[in-house]
Amino acid sequence: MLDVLAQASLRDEFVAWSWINDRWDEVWEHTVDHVQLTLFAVAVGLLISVVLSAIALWWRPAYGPITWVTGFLYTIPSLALFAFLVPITGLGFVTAEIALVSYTLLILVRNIVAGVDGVSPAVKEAADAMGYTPVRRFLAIDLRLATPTIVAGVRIAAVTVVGLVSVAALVGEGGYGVLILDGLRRDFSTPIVLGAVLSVVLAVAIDVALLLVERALTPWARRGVAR
Amino acid sequence: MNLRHRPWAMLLALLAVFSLVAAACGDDSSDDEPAGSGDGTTTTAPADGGDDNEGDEGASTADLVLGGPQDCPTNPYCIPGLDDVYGVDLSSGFVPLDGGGPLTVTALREGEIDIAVLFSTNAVIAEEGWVVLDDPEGLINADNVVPVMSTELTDAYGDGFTALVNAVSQALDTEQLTELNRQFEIELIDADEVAQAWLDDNDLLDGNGEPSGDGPTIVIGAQDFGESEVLSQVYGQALEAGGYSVEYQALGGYREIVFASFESGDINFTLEYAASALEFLNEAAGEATGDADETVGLLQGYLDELGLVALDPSPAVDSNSFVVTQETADRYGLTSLADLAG
Repeated sequence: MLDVLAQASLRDEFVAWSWINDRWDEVWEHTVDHVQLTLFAVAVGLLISVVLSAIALWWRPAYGPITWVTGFLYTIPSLALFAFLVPITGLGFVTAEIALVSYTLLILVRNIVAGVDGVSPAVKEAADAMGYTPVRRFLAIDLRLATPTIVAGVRIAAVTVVGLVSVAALVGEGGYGVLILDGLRRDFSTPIVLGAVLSVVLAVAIDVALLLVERALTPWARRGVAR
Repeated sequence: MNLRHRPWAMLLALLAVFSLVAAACGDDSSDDEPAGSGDGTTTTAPADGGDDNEGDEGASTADLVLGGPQDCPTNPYCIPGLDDVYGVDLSSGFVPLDGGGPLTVTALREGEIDIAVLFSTNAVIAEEGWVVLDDPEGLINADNVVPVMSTELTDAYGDGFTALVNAVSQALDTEQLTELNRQFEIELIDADEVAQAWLDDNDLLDGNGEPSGDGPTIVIGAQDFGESEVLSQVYGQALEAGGYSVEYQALGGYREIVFASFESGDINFTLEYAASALEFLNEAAGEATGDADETVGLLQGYLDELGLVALDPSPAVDSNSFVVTQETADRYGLTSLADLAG
């Protein structure tokens, strides 16, 4: 009961550090959840997108329908998608991931196809001449040279997903979204600000990390810049 | 496709977000001021109203703005019920907000609405000195807290389990439930601590014995409002103390998700409200009464089809209620819902 005076003032502060300081382990758990949900969604999204892009590149007429479908998924409001999925897949990780993955597809497919289209026909011809099979050329030459464009897509997708993960708190899996919902429910600014700021920091951190990945994957690009 | 960011551009973006958040905070505090000036205008009202109150009533109560949950215009215990039982039609100025949550509270506090649909155990009502309108005709039914669970649990664990759950229900009453809500939502103490302290005070943490059988993990679903979270901790921790394995699942929504989650197997235990659950399952047939046992009996009829069972209702009641500020009550001479009629 001695806590009462201290507790009563928590709401008066925009950010009550005393409240946060008691909960760093909880914040860490939300961070792990948020990172897991994000990375899993981007990884699965990338895998599916590579397959869809390969189909689109192999057989052009498929590209239209693929972008229509992924574009349609992209336009569904996340809240509506979760509401629609809960009766089918229940609450939790699977439902969250279905929604999150579906939002990455349009961005990733477009970037992969654009990237591969941008590879010089002369290089493709050279690879063909060297005896590369179409599948091997796609994986070893086309995708590799399209890396900058693909990573640009992955970065947009990842930053988008970091933001959307918070909404997944509504299906019981939300990382920082859990903090934001708690704050909204109790009209308490500290967890809302904490969740929002950490989500932004995470988005920036992942974006920077992917930028470094891109640099590591494309040493030739930097050589080009240096010249 | 040249999207390569420079670090300082990211810092700028970060700063932009911070300033947005700060601006939002600034708006909040400036919003508080109109509330203050709103109080100012209402305090002048009784002065010029005075003896004219009676005369004003007919014309002005019709203009009162009701704010509450989205389903209010069709819920038989909200707008249609007010019309049927009290002859009060508030449909024209209805503002859809949330289920007794912060939106509704803020809207009433800031004068955006005149009448709020809130849960009767919401501690904010006493904190703000608001007035709950009486319900002499019994529009509002027996919304006693009632544990609802899968028959899997009762079959597997048997009498020891149901006795423990019933003991928790019996120990809780409306006043204590309001106090638990106050600790969680106003003092901002974590739900698990609030529940633990209450259970400790009521000797429900020690001597709960051993599980009365082998069975599935008990997964307690909490609806998306504070009291539901607190209640799931209260029952959950009592069960944990009795040696049962318990998990907690935030449902992120209201009653629709509760029953969908039972069906999908995501949860097998929840804390419901007798009359509201009954009227949800019977599609608002209006069967609920003011008697808790009778209402739970009727509820059980619908739960049977779903493989669910309701245990004894708690004496703790949390019904929807219609709340006005003291100023509004004084100005229009309101003490009961009947006073809303012109």
